[in-house]
Amino acid sequence: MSAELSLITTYGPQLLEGFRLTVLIWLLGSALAVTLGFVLGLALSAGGPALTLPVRAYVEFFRGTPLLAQLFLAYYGGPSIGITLDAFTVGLCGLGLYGAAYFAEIFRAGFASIPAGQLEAARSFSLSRRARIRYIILPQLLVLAVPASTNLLIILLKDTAILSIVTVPELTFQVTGMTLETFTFVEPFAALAAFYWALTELVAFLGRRAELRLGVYLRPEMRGAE
Amino acid sequence: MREGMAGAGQSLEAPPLIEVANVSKWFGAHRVLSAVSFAVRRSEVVCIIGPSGSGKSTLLRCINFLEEYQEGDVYVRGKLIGYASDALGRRIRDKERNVERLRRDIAMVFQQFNLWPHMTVLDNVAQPLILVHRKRPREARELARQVLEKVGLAAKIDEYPLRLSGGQQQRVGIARALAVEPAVILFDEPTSSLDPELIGEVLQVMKELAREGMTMVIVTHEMHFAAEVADRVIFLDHGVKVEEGPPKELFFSPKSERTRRFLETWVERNSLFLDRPAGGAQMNSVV
Repeated sequence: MSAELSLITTYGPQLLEGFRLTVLIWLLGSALAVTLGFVLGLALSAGGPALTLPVRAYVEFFRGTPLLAQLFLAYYGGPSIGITLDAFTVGLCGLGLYGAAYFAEIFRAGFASIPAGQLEAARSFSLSRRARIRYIILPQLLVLAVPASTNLLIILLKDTAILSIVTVPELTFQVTGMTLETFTFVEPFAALAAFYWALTELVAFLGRRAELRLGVYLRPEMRGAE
Repeated sequence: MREGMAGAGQSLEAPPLIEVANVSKWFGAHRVLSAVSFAVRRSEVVCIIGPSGSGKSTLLRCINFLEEYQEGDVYVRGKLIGYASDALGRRIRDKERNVERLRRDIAMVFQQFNLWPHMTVLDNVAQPLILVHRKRPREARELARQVLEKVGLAAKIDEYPLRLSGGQQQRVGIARALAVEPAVILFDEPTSSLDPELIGEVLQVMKELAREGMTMVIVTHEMHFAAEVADRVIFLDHGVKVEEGPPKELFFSPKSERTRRFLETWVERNSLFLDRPAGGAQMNSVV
């Protein structure tokens, strides 16, 4: 009992720091991924070939190669071409750029799933191209993208664990270090898994809430007392 | 040249709101419209009928340039829509801005309603006024409310379109068209995707508009409606205008053999009801 207590007092601060960093890098990386992915998705949907070709190449590369390989390339290969980045920056950008490729596809698919008739009606009422995107497509696109985005945010959350391999001192990195020093493996990793799971459930819960709230117009039943 | 002709020939008559002159259109090698011409004047109701695939909807959609046509001209209030001339006098696609400007005079009602599901009924009607016609939101919504009341949907303004019946949705579609105060409304088979018992409420609204003098071009399969409301009926087959005339002539003494054959099915169907006494038993035996 006292041994476990001493474990907590010894490693507590480290674990707390790892937890903070995991959440931080996940939130920032996701923000980067959503923002960049949104722009890329729009480019894929509404851009000319001069735009879609490079974007397509980007998406194919980041979807087609493992995140781990991308991180190694940036972290260990970067210096050889004069780009030296610290682990945190590599981890954050790696996660963001990787996620952006998937978000681009989510938004592209959402864009394509707006029925053509709606856009035709908008055109027939002389809504400009800009107004059609802003007022007809985007509001629906964001709603349509919620389920797939929730899924991707969960994947990105769990993928932050991979960043430990390029020495980002996030939670998995700290727990790994702890196990190597204490030679206890099962309990720390079980606790680690439970941590990710709990956070994942929270994200899934919020995603479902958002889906219900935002998609209210898609359900044909009469509205309740509002 | 057109202005000159109009000035000399039909002296006192105003130029038509819509003039379709020798319009031809191809989808690839397939010719869907062959030199179709007709005109629509203020307060006229023109119905376009014909078998499926005859090019009715395509013709309608050429009027507001939702479809490009390759030959001929479509004039909206005397202005060519969709095309301009370059320095050498060759025909080029007009700027989108110019097409949009001409389209403001033309509203459209669609077979599948094509409402915007994420907007309330009120906003479906108000948004074009705000985004295109530069009305202030409050003013636009007040106008929208009035128009929705007119089509009998005052109680539904805060509802979302997908929660309405098909007939109600189409009335929202009509309200959306009315609200922009267009010179003409194009109807593309407005009742074709409605349950039979919902068709009446939509046709009722359209009849009311016709009575008020709204200019309308209507692609329809509702022959009764066309016969009752149209000033002129155009029969289209394989992209060719076979016949055009007042409903009385076209429906009851068609000049063309093709028109007669097309209408036979309709006349036959109706004779079931006209010739027999209104006995329920007999009706059942027929059906």
